[in-house]
Amino acid sequence: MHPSTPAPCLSASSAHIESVYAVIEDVIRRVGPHPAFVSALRQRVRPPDGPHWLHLPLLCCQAAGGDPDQGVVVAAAFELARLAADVLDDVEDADVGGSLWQSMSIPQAINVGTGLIFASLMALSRLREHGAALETVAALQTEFARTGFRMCAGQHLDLQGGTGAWEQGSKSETCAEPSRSIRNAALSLSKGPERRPERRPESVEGLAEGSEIQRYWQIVAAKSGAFFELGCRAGALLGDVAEEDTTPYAEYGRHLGLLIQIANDLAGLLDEDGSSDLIHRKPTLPVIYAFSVAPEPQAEQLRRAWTAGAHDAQARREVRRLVIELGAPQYVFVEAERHYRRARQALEQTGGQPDALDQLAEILKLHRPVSFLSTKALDDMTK
Amino acid sequence: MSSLQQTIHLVATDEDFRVALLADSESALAQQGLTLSAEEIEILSHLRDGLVLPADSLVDLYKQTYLARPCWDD
Repeated sequence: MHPSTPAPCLSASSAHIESVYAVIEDVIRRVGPHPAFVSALRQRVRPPDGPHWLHLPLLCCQAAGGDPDQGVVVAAAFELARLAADVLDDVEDADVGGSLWQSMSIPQAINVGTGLIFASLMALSRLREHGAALETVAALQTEFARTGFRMCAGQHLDLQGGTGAWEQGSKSETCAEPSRSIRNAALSLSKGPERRPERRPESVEGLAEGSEIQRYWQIVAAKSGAFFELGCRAGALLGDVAEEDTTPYAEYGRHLGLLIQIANDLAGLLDEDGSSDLIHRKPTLPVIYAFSVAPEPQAEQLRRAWTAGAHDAQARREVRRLVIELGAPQYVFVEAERHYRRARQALEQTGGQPDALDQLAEILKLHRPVSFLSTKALDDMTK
Repeated sequence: MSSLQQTIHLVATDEDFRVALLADSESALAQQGLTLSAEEIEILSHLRDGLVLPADSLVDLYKQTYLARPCWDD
């Protein structure tokens, strides 16, 4: 998730958080006496300041009529998987600002992230103690593994870079390394920059030239989409439903994940203080749209500002101005509304327990960036 | 560039198109040779009054509402 995530404030009740974190603590404690490693894990294993996505498996479990205690265990496994992804993502993206790799070495942070993946699988094995059927546990383990694999594939595509065609003076068939100097600067803060392999520019296989937008959707579906899909399907798998009937829950999660990601992309563009997406020259949805529609001479202005944006705040302001002027916010709003509607439709198809569905619908509504754009909302505002 | 992207670009940059879209969206799209899916037409029609706002106002509204929205369980 983007660091400038606009505080979605998805707050699970403190009782839920405590129960889930009690399971996590127990999983770690049972592994055995490895104080240094446990201490390293604990630097990261704590409830997030931002949204508590562990609510998704809990609510989907409830909606599907599952056992709440089993829901807590799956939520713990999901939370551990999220923590693992965060730790590893921070290393791979060289994110600064409280990242684990900054407080230890990069190899140690990778090791903690890897450990959290296994802790997530260990948490799932606890389901048997709560009466879950062997087939259910196996189905969940498969689901977690499959999703993790998919997310790695998405991350790989993301890490290949892209947008070389946008670089001023570059040839469109090459994909330049985005913001290498920034990454190197960030890495110099760590204890082991010399061990980090240089990332080579690569072409994006299987994608036609000019398909930056398709590439974007592939990446976000495999990362944010798949992760939220897992949280929702995993919760529903505990319920009194056939495995194929968990699909609407998974669809809800997928579209929620995409909605949140593209709304974050816009927030990242508008964040004048952070601007990390523009510094890293990350091809987010508003920027991809802008490059796609910009006629000359705006396209040349955009290319020039984009290229200089890694080091120059004035250039980033220029990128922001041009992208907005070309209609990127409107485009993001329309795409966000598309995913909001599809998530809403999926939720209606679940036939789940109404209270839980209401809460899932509320979560969706909270992340719908365009509620203020409807005619009624605008009328209300001007009254 | 997709028809949706072209449509949004026109909404953002062409005053005549904005006026035409507000008056009769079907005809405005047809005149530009733009073919949108039923879902896209429905979304555009739902958000039309907001999408035609000046970009700065739109961004300000977004910041005031979405980015400053209250917590789910407030």
